[in-house]
Amino acid sequence: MGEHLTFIGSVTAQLVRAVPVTLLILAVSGVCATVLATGLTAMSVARSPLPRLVQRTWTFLFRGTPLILQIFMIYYGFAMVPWIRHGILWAAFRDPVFCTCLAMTCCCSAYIAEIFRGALAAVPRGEIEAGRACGMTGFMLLRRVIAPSLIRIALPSYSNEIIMMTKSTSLASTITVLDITGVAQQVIAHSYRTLEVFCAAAALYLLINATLSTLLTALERRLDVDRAPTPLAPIPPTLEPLS
Amino acid sequence: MSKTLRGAVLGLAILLSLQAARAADVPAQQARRTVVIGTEGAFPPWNMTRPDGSLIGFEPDLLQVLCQRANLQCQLVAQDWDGMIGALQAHKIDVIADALQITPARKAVLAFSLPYAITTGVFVTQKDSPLARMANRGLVLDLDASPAPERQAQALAALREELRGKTLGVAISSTYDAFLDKYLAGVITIKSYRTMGERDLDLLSGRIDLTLDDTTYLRPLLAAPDAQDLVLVGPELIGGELGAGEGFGLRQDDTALAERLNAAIRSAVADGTVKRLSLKWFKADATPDLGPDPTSTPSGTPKP
Repeated sequence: MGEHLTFIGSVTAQLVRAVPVTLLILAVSGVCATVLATGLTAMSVARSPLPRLVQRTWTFLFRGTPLILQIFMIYYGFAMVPWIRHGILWAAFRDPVFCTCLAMTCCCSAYIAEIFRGALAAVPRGEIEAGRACGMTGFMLLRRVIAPSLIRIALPSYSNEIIMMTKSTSLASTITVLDITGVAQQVIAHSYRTLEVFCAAAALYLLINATLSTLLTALERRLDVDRAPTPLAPIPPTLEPLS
Repeated sequence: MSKTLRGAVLGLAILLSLQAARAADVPAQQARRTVVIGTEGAFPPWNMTRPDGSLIGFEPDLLQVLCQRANLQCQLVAQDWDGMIGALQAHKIDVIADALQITPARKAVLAFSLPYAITTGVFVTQKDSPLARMANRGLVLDLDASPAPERQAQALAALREELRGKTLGVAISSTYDAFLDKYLAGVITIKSYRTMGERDLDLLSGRIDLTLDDTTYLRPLLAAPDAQDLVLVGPELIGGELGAGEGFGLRQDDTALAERLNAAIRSAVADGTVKRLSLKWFKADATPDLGPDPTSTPSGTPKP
């Protein structure tokens, strides 16, 4: 038993050193996917049919194919394309962390865009009409009325997607990235002990996800005006002048 | 064909002839036993998968002979190398047949049969790489030669200098891990791949500078049309951390199976079966030197 604990201790120490790699992939692809998803959501409600078609095609492709295939296609597939392989882009595509982030950005943006699109459709029409009635148009309507409602509605599903993304980062290990899973596999390759190593790796993912979900739940509560623990800020006596 | 398990597990029925196994090889009291043999099906020419799912190669051919002689009902299943030792320990398979080098590091967790082949490790790089001019090409470095003759010490020192700062790709849990740890740790960057195929793709794309693998795997690869840019370089490695040839991996408590396989391997080496199959698949004789059989009657002693 003591030997087991010593082994788990040393394995955990090795795995902890790989946590920044996992977090880096999560942070980069999480931010990029969210930005991209915002653009896609805007395209989904555009007046002209072309942006709507682009958004639908993007979702169809990236939501309909396995992430691991997207990673393999970008990492191994693009390396076979001469103008990428011998061009300036190779500096980026040579790097497996970049390839993982790119694949995850594309894939997760499709999911997040659908979450945003659904939330956008769920923003009460009355709120928007009220905003219009107050003379708000365009960006101000978006910033003051649509976005706050949209974020509140989307947040639970968005949190779910971020947690799924955390777990998806482990696919980076299939293209030689030494993230938590990659290091775990290396340790197993040298020690031939699977159970302890996978348990230690799973514990680290649990820890990351527990932290993330605590933060996101706190944010959800903070934004939930209906159940806000603190009294709402007083409504300003006059509306700000509209520009 | 049964469609089972991840679509990757494929059965190969090995037909036993109706006539009894030869009495000289198999004692009559040994009961027929069913064993599941794990192989990769992706390590040509040792084992590979045909489009119809059947497994062919040096090892499937050899096993057909060995199973018959050891009175075993063998079922060959294909699975990825990276989980194979775990599968053996979890009793999902009974034997690993995947060009497994008998190395000191692996002996700590596995039991091995006698070797049924012996081959060298070689380096491969891109033709336009500076490494294409590595020294000592073709020199066979026997890491067991101890004390190391001066020539070998020189060759190893040259290897360290030439490879300094380079990235070398190997399949995960490869035979070469212990060698790389001992002679090249801190000198090179090592990237591990789940399969040889993925590693080869990265060698072709230039993400890694070179690879180290078995000569029987790499030489045919170099002959493939897609691999025209690759070239064999540097010394060939054998012995020491690289092991004493390829043997079957077994669970350490399964000594009965080891004995049966060992007797069959001895007979296949003695009657030239191993040589014949080795020439067929490797175009070279990889027959190991097994030494005298400790269990056989000493030669020259008249039998009663």
